[in-house]
Order: sequence, then structure tokens, then C-alpha cells
Amino acid sequence: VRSARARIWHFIVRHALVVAVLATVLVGIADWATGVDVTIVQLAYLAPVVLASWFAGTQPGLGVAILAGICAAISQIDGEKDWMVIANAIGCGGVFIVVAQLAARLHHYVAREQLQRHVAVEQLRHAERLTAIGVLAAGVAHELGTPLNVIAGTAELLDIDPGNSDAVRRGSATIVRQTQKLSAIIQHLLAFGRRGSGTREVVDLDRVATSATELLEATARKRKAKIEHEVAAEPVRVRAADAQVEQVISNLVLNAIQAMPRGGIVRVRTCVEMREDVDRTPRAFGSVVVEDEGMGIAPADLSRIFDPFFTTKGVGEGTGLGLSVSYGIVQDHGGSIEVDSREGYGTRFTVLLPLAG
Amino acid sequence: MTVEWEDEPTREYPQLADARVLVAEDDPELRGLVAAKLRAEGCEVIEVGSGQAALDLITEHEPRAGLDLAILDFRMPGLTGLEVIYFLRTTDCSTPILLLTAFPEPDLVDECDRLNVPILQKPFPLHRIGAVAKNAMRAGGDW
Repeated sequence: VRSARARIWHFIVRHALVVAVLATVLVGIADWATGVDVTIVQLAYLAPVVLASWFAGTQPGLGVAILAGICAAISQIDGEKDWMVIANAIGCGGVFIVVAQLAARLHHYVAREQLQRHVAVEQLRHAERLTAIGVLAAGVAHELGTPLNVIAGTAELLDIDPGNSDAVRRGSATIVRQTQKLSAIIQHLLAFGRRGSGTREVVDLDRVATSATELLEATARKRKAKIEHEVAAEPVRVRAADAQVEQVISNLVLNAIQAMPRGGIVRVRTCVEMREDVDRTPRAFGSVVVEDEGMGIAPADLSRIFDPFFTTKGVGEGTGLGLSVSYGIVQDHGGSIEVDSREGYGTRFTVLLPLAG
Repeated sequence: MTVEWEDEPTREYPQLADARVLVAEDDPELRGLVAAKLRAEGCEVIEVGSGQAALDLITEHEPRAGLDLAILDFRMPGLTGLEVIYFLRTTDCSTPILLLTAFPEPDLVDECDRLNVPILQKPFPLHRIGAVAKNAMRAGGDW
């Protein structure tokens, strides 16, 4: 429940332009009624001007400033006043416009700062959450390894024992197969939770992208999709474990293919892109962009796509680990993944990895 | 190096039959399965349930406790498999070793590479243990 003061303030902010226009007219009337020359009254015009440009934007602010100038001029038109006073009022109008501009700029700047801080905090929170999930995932995978091994091993023994009935052997073969599936999931979880460095070499991102897309061409054809790999003019060299980066690109391309049930084009390109570092110094990154013409990602899902086991794919189509694993790998390489999606138009993933050397 | 299930020994050295193999694993059931499988291949298997027991066994029966292979779990109560490996390697023991772990962290993999100890990741299919053990015996000893 809002307090009365908060409610009034909320109303003023929401209807800043209307309130400012009314206030300007009221000040104008006061100005006209007092009928004095350049006075404190004229300073009162500044309040609605600042109000409008701060909360309603640059143009409404300018409008109110001009209105204030007109009011100031009108209130001075009185048979006995000389032209100097009117010129003065018009000068006031100029001042109002300048103030309106300044207020709008300042507000723009403050808002941008706040937004950047907000985004940074959100990213940090997101990264922290994924790190926590990664630790949990690694722990779970770790603990499951031995019991799973016992289950699979026992089932294997039952399966090869000729003394057992067919039913027992069929059943144990099923257990073996299912434990293999579980093992695969655990492998992915481990990849997501893994921290530290594997063997990294200087690799050409474009070459890695080429080998990833070539592997998926058959899959793409089957789903009436086409992969267009725009070859980079120059090699994009990054220090990375190429098998891992290839896995990331494959995951993204596969997602892109699956996001287009009626087929379409997956565009892949590598290039060098500039991004601001944590301390806002520009830094060059090797980037791989994977774009599709698919259904896009619902805004509500965007913040969860990197969470383990989050998937919008049908049963059996995906485990919800592909993007988590990719995130883990890229994060491990000191890079980041950007996603830009419009529902109904497609999605663009950008993998950024620090350039080598 | 991580031993793949598909790894086939390229050289039939040494024979698994009559090999003396230590299995140190804290889970008795997994230990039992591995031991049974190795026994079926003709090995003489010594089972222990902790790193300390493995260490005691090795130090009591110098040199190398006559072992042809030591299969050690990484995570065990008390001494870890890696600590047992350090001990083995510092006492100039060239016993081939195979490390079992569910979570081959990059640091652990690097360290095992340095020590020439292959890793077998859990869960592994039981029927591969013979081939993997042979591979480990081939890889070991050159440290």
C-alpha cells in the first residue's frame, strides 16, 4: 500500500507533461497577477520545465519551455510595460529552453547509468547462479558415478550369464542401455560444471566453425534447412580447446536447425568484434555468429535458456543441457555468449572469445 | 590420458592372466564387480577399501608388493587415490596404475598425464575393464 505522498508523486511522474502544462499556466497567471518585472515569479517557471523534460522527455520538455516563455511574455504585455520587459520575457524563454535541454540530457545520462548498473548486476547474478548450479551439477554427477557403475555392471553380469532366463537377460540389457543414457547426461553435466583449463591452442575460429557446420549439413538437409557459412576474410585466432569450441558451435547450429520446423537458413559467420570490458575499455573478441529464421525465444524464457535442463524442445529432442554446456565452456575460456531474439523472426547467438596474442 | 572404452590394447603385453592386481575402491559393490571381472580374466586380485589400506599393503610388501597393476579410486575416505599415487611414485615404484574417477577435472587430468597414470571415468562398462587394465599395464612403468 502506497502512502498518500507516494501516490501523489507517482501521479505527478506518470502525468508529468499534463502536470507541467497546468503548472506553467498557473505560474503564468500568478506572474500576470503580480505584474512585477523580472522577478522570482519567473524562476517558478523552471519547476514545470524541469519536471516535463525529466520525466516526459526532451520534446515535451521543450514544449513546456516554449509555453513558459509565451506565458512569461503574455504576462508582461500590459499597456504600461515597455518593450525591454517583453524582450526580457523572451530571453527568459530562451533560458527555459536551455534548462529543458540540460535537464533532459542529464536525465538521459542518469537513466543510462542506472540501466548499465542494473544490467551488470543482473549479469553477475545470472553468472553466479549458473556457477552455483554448475557446482551442484558436478557434485551430483560425481556422486552418481559409482552407484551407476554398480547398477550397469551388475546388469551386465546378469546379461551375459547364460544360466539366466531370456526375460532376465532382456531386462538387464534394458538396464544397461538406460544406464548408458544416464552416463551421457552425466557427461554433459560434468562439462557444464567443469572449471579450469583443458589443453588450449591458438585456433582459427573460422576453421572450427567450418568443421562444426560440415558435420551438421546432413542433419540440416533432413530438416529442409540450409547452413550458409560466410567464410571470414582473415583467420580469427583465439586461444581455445578446439573440440570444446566446436561443441559450442555445433550446439548453436543444431538449436538453430531445430528452431525452424519448416526449414530455413542458418547463417554462420566469424569475425572480430569490439566489446567493452568490465572496466569499459574496448577489447577485441573473436566472434562466431549463428543466426536462424526460426520461431525465436519467448522473452520470458530468455533469462532461463542457459539453465541446465531448461528446454522447450519436445521429449527426446533435447536434454536442456546443450546451451548450459556451451555457456560453461565459453565462460571457461573467458568469453561470453550474447543472445538476441525476436519471437516469430529468429534468433541470433554471438559467441565471443578473447583473441589470442 | 583418459582411457576410452573402445581402447583395445595394441600390444599383447603383459598378459592379464596371472597378473597381480590391487583394487582399491571404497564402494564394496563396485569393488566386488571389478574384482570378479578381473578374476574371471585370470588375475589374482587383492581388494582393499581405502587409500590407507592400499598404502599399507604396498609398503608392507616391498618392492611393489609384487603388483602388476594398481587400480585406485580417486575419492576414498582418508587418503585419495592421487595421494597413494604420489607415494608410489616418490618411492621409485614403477607399478602401473589406473585411476578411477567419476569427475576427471582438468587439473587432475593434467597431473595424471604428468605421472603417466591413465584415468578410467566412471561409469564404465564392466566388460571393458580387462582391456583397459591391459592398456594401463602397457602405459605404466615408464615413469
